[in-house]
Amino acid sequence: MFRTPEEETRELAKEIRELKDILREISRKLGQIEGRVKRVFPTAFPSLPSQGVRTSVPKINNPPTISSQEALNIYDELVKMAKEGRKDEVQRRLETMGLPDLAFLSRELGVPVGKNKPSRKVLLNGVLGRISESMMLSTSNLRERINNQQDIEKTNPDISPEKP
Amino acid sequence: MPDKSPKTIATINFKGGVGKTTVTWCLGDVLSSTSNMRGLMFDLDAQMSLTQAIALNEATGFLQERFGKWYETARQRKKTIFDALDAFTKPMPHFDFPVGFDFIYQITKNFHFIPSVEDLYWQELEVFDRDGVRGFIGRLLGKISNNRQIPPYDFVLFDCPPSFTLLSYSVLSCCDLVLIPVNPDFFASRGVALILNSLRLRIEPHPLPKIGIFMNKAKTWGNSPTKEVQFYMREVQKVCDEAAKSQAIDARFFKSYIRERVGIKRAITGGGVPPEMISDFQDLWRECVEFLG
Ligand SMILES: Nc1ncnc2c1ncn2[C@@H]1O[C@H](COP(=O)(O)OP(=O)(O)O)[C@@H](O)[C@H]1O
Ligand SMILES: [Mg+2]
Repeated sequence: MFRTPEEETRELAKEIRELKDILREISRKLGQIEGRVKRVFPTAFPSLPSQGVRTSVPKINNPPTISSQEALNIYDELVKMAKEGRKDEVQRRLETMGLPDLAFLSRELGVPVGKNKPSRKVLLNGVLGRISESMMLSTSNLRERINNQQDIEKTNPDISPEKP
Repeated sequence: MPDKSPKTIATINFKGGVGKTTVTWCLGDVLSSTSNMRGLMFDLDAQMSLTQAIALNEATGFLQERFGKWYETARQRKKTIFDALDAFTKPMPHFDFPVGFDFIYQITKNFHFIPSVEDLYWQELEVFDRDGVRGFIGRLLGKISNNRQIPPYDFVLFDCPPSFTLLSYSVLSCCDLVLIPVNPDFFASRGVALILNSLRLRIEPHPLPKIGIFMNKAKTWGNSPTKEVQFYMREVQKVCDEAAKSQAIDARFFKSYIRERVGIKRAITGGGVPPEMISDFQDLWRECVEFLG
């Protein structure tokens, strides 16, 4: 019996971890057996061409090179750049980021990416989305809009409702 | 012994569905049932969702007999919040409206309630003078605390409508704290930015109360908010800091948050606050008290 849903979730997470460890161990053992069989019957194991190609591409689930705090700092910097109107720079900065780092950044920002392995484009758009949310939430932006409205009304008395 | 005046807290947000009603009730229920504090709660929303939730029996879906009878009598005897407002705005030298337990409903021994009535819908049409209504809630609270039959309250909560009505204006000009629930999504966060940047304009020239903002419906993973919730918490924090500076308001984003749990949906109608959520509301209260100093 679990006292709280949290406790139950923690227990589940632990079991998943243990099962994954067991599967990893089995996979390692199978690999050893496969190696031995291969040496005796080499022709029975034609090499799969696609496999070599896949390993050479930097994988999304490689570990990121940045920490959680560094990711948030990068984000703050990007928001600042975007607020100053340097949108191209933001785009370039994100495009030159390694895929594992970009994936990590989007995860740290809680970008909802449905798929297990989202594409670079999905990740990039997710992070850009967060940046524009932040800009639209900024109150200085809001105030600017309110002030602009007042300026328009002042310089353009035709549109103000109370005409003398 | 000098009378200690109660802490008065108004839950507002112009966005509906963020949890104003739910959080107000849960806070009052937790405080009055897990401590020896006594509380009074107002439903000021003409939509009456809080009044309805309290009135309905969860098991049958019918009106609860005790509340139903009490409410009918209050209406017949003209002892509703609308009648109180009516008496206050009459051109008479005194605010003639005796308050007692025919005006205040006792949900439990320590948790009391002043329900809403549909008539509040018309209040905006009938009352033209904004400043004629401003002192209403303050004077009403004064009457309640002066009445020897009514025990003193430690806290008073107001569930406000999702619009800026004359009653919310009256509450905001006398309460100690405005409590704004926000949810972890873009439009709720934007709602906070809009309120924080327009409150001063609405209440001037009167001083503004302190403003506390907190996250409600926080999804959690393990023991902490998910990355998405954390994102919105940081963003709302920024909105809050910016507004505090530019608007010269005393606004603070609270560290405590209320988790998202389906069990809370049945809280008011009879389920009570889910046991694992009680500490969420106690933490929120602790931060309110700390902020009020
Ligand atoms: N912490 C929470 N977890 C899950 N559901 C919640 C939570 N807070 C509120 N809700 C639900 O959200 C909906 C809107 O809440 P309500 O209190 O009526 O909002 P408001 O008064 O701001 O319009 C209701 O269905 C309520 O049960
Ligand atoms: Mg409500």
